[in-house]
Amino acid sequence: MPDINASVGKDAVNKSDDVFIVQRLLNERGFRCGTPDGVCGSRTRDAIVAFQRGFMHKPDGRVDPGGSSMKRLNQPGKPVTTEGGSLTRLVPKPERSTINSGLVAVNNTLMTQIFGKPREDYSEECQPVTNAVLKRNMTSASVGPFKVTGMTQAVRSLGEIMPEIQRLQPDVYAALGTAGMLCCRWVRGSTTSISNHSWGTAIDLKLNGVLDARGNNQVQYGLTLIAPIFNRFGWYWGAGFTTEDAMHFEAGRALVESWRPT
Amino acid sequence: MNFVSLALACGLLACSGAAGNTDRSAATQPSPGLGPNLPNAPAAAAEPVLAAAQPTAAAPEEAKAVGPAAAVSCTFSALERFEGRTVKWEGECPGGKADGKGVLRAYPKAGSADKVVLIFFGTLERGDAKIGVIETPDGFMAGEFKQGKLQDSEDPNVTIRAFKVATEAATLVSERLKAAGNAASSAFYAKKAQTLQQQMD
Repeated sequence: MPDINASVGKDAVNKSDDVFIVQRLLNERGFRCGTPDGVCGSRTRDAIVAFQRGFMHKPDGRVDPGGSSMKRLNQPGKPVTTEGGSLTRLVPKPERSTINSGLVAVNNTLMTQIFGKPREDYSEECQPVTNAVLKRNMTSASVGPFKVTGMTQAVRSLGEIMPEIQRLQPDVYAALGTAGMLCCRWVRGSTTSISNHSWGTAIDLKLNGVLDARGNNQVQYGLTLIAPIFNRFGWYWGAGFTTEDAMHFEAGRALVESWRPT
Repeated sequence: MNFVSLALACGLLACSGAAGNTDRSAATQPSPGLGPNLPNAPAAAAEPVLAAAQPTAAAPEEAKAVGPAAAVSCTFSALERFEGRTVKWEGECPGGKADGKGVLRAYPKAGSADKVVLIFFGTLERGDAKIGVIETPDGFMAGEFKQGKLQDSEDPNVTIRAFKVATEAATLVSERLKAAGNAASSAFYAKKAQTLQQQMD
């Protein structure tokens, strides 16, 4: 079994050969950190943290020679997604610094400035988009495990994310469902703030038909496995909100900016 | 209409107060307490819990009153995940069928190491679940139900409506328990109502 000579990851020694070994093992276990290159960048550190969430309450982002993380990386043939129980088992909400790296969530002001208001009035229930320009840019399509209706660019992006989830986390892919994408309405309890779902750039996910409970600072394990994949495509994970909302994924600011109408 | 609180073994065929040491008359009284297994749930007072007569069939079946004349008979169809459990309905029972907004609580099987109580908040129509939310240890299953099974839907309005109805059901039960003088249980369901209301965005 391969082992490393010195630590790899956050605040670690990060010798090139050691980093290469860890990167290869992470990739083999579905925690993608790109082509192994011996350089411990943010993607590798994020992959270590995502891997550790499966068995550590507080991932430290570091793999030590002979340590528990290294031993688990070397465990052959054991599907990561079934370690410790089901995909929906709850684990502590990840530290904010370990998720959504380099990503910023959008807000109503930005979305309105870029795309305009989806409609003039809102309620607690989903209502149709009436903004003619936005409406023309809405699409309904299958993205793999389910069908969605949303902004064309966002639907297309999901169509790229889902095959990657299928490739890297097939157990999670098989369990995925959605509670919906496009939904023009107020944020719950507000009459001034519009839900980010209103522009069709956010989606709520289910695992095995179960929605993660919002605001309890615990998240379904399976969501922690796919969050890094969403992040890589520029989507922000709602576990990073002030009120934890782990079922929620939305296009991040940079991605939305890239969709700005010309 | 009497707002009844009855315990039935899901899929089971007995609905009376006469099993073992249960109190038949208690079947018509408001629920005095809750199961012991939910975190922060108030201590449960004795309440009528009926033993299963026989294992449930695979298909959802209607629980029906049999045996000595029951003080109240109330029937409803089995709900997915509730099979084999003792189930208690908190809600109206017009014409002998569970109906309207209320709560179904499914207690662990007798002798099981599983201590989890599952709760359905929502609407039953003549014994059949129509729309609502099942609370599980890992989260919520929300939407419309048909023959006891949650229907798959990608329409966000279905989920939003389900949580709205679930919130109303939890609130209704909370108010009823408060009126019955059960402050602790009332507070429990009021908290549930708040959680359900805040789930979607």
